[in-house]
Amino acid sequence: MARSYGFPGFPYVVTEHPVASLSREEIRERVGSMLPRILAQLGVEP
Amino acid sequence: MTVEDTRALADAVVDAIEYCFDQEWSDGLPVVPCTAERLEEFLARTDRDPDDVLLAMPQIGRECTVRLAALNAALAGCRPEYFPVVLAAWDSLRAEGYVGRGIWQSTTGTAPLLLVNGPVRERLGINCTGNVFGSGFRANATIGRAIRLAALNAFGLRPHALDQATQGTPAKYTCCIGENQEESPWPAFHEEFGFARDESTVTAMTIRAVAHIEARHTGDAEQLLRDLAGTITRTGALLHRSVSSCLVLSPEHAHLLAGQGFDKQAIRRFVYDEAVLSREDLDRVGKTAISRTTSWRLPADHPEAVPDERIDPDTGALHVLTSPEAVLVVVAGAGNSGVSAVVDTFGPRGDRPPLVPVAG
Repeated sequence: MARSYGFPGFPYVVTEHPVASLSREEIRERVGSMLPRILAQLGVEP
Repeated sequence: MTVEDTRALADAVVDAIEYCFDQEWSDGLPVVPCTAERLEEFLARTDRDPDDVLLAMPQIGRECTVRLAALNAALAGCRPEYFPVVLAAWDSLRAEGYVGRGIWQSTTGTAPLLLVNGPVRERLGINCTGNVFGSGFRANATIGRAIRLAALNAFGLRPHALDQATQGTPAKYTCCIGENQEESPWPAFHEEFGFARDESTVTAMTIRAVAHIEARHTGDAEQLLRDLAGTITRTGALLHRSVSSCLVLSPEHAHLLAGQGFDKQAIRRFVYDEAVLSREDLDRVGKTAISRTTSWRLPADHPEAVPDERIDPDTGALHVLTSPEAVLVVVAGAGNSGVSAVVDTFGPRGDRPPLVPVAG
């Protein structure tokens, strides 16, 4: 997908499925578990 | 032409087709290579500026112009005289609205069904009778494919990338039918919406699925309509607040219904009345409530769920259609048996469908 947009090296973070059936709290937990990977992509040191 | 000349010509054609595969200009099947001269033959069939934008997708910064539509129609195997129908299809898709908002990128995996009415069907050889959803007719096959190839080539919506369809539908290759006006007992679809019988139109419908209902078991109109309504009402089709549908009736079913006093409006009304789920039906599949943020259905005990105010508080009944007008009625197929189709559409839910006249 990144290549189709013209940014072949664009970094991204993936999450597990499913997403659509989650509650807000479960979404928060899911994002929380992704945060270290998101911060790493942004170059933030742990 | 000698045998050697013929062989050389065939080799050159195959090389050109393979070149197109290498450029990823294909839906998986061979395309018809297009030269600048061939493209001009298509553009000569319209007064529109080749740079006119037929459809834009601002979310990906891409658009399909008249020129790109012509090029992909040529690649699809259209004859140049098909091009006004292809243009009307693009105008109808734009008017319908779902494509511009990203439905071709969705996991849903929809395809456009193109319905053609009027004399252009006969002029171009668009099949309206036997095997109407199947293969075997150049106009049907290539007009629908022209849209698909432009989705791939003009918008770059390739599977596994910008097209994220989880499974997709076979209709993605092509899905173009003519109405069998000649064997219909009722005014044609485009006449219902104010067009003259000698005018030609294209109506695009974003669809999830086409379910064929073999119903040869009864001669009773109400039993037949209940059988068809059962497929419209199935819970699997109910993702949001309501559903919409296009009933594609075979001539045999259409005449059975007409013979017992049903016109298209009476069919719509009967199907609307019959297409009802109970609260228990919805509870059983976890679709009793609506998401407060997305309008998708949810189990009643989901934290994001709000009650569906359309469920009758006294009876617990839910009409899955919002109005009789959420059912479109078309006649197509051969008059040789009682086989009709229920097409799961994305709308309209009572709005006017996007009929577009074919120029010329």
